[in-house]
Amino acid sequence: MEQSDAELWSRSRSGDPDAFGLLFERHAAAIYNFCFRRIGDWAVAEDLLSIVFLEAWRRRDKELPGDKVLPWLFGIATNVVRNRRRSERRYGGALRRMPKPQPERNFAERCDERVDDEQQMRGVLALLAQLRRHEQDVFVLCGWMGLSYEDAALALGVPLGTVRSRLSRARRRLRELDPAFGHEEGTTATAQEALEP
Amino acid sequence: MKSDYVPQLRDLPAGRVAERKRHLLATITLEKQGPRFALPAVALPRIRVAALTAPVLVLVGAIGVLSLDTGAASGTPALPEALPFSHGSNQQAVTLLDNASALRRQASDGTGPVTYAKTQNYALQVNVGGGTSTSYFETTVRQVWVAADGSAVAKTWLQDTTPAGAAVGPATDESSGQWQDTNKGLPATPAALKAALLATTPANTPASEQQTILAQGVMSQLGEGTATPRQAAALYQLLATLPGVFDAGTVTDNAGVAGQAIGVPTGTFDSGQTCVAVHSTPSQPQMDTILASRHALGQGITYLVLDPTTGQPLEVESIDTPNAPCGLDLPRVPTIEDYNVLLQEGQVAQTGALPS
Repeated sequence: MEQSDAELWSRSRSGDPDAFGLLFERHAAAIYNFCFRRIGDWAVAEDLLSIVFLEAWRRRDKELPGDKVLPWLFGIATNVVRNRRRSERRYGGALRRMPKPQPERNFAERCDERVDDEQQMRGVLALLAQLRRHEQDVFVLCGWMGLSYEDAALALGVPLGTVRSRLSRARRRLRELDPAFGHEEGTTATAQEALEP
Repeated sequence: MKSDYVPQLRDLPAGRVAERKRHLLATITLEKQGPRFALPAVALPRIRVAALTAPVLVLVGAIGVLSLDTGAASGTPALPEALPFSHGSNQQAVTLLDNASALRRQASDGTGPVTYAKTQNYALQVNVGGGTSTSYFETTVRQVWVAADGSAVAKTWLQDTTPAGAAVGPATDESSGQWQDTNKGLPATPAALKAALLATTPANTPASEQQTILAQGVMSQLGEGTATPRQAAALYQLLATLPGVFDAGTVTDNAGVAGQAIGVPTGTFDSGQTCVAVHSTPSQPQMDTILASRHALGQGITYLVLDPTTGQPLEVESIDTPNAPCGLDLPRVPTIEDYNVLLQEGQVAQTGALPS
């Protein structure tokens, strides 16, 4: 039977790397995609993914409600992205020890897809950049990553009402900036897929 | 952007999850083998302040970072203090807004084809972990130039500040480039303005919620700093019609300018739910209190500070009352959710120029 996040986190807290590795496997895709959606570069997102989990390990004394491991990881990821240069400097040694990626099959096809993603994301990030940074944080977590208001509040360390008002402001501003913009939460099956184990 | 646009989700390239996992586990295993492989020290709750006491400065110097370990959940974060607002009458607020609106309608749009605005924004940012809260006291300073055709350019910096608003360290470049002014095309009559602010709100939205949306909308537009005098006049008139508007007395804003404040309720929040989510372990002594306050509602209030002699907006500040949710381990006092200080505005000859 598959162990819950709560069980794996409890084992991680007592210093069990294998349990932490399972949490990594379970949530790597969600954090990877979140980092890409804030940075717009898949290669950088991969390095930030490693930093997020190294940072989570470093903070393993943290007591978490059982179903809040992923929101908490999103909170760490938000800060890692926010302080990207500082994070990369802090973990530079660990990242340099990362082995070079091996060549993969269908690389050209995947590469084209990813270049397209990055080009499209640049335009989207230019639009998002016109929001206040805390509005961007809430929008990406709730609008694109499918977090509930409660989980976003935990991830960002702000009151629930603040999440609501920031998200409302972010959506209104995005509609003003681009009248075609009207994404509603809960309609993103693809975002949900990333969050499911 | 397409209306339903959500960026495509991708898996990591083939084999890379396993590779990254191996690297992760190797790194945390190596950590045990000595300082050469050590990860950075365990995070200290950071409170960025300029006026630290001498012993603390010694500590900060010793650890080599601009960080301070509060050491306990009860440590007082260096949050900015809410301006000393009072709670006066609705009638007085309406009179003030009517006067300010009349002054704005008489005001000249200024000379020069480009509208310039400089604002400073703070927003509450707290991380809670290990029984401590960490507050990030960082502001965004933004300069915007809006040309006559509506095209706009903005430049922003990040700036740490003291609770009193004084800059700490140099500002960091954040971004610069094309901007879209959300006040562009905003109507200058209260009725049209109301319709515009509610344009994306479903018709069956309860009236009380619509009032909240309008209050947030009015304050948000004023906080941008780019509203024309006529738009500001209409925003004031609309604000005056909202229920719960009250005179909040005379204050000095976060840029040190004296003005008249007007407050309006901008929504409630369920503090109890957040608290339960954050403190759900038996080791948290606050648990009983948290459960008791599960259904307590907090009230958000947003204040506009304006210059009563010119009608110009000076600052918009949103406050959680009577305090931010207990789960954030913040002092039990009214807590600023965010503020926008309008530092400078005026018409200039070209983009990049500053008002004289």
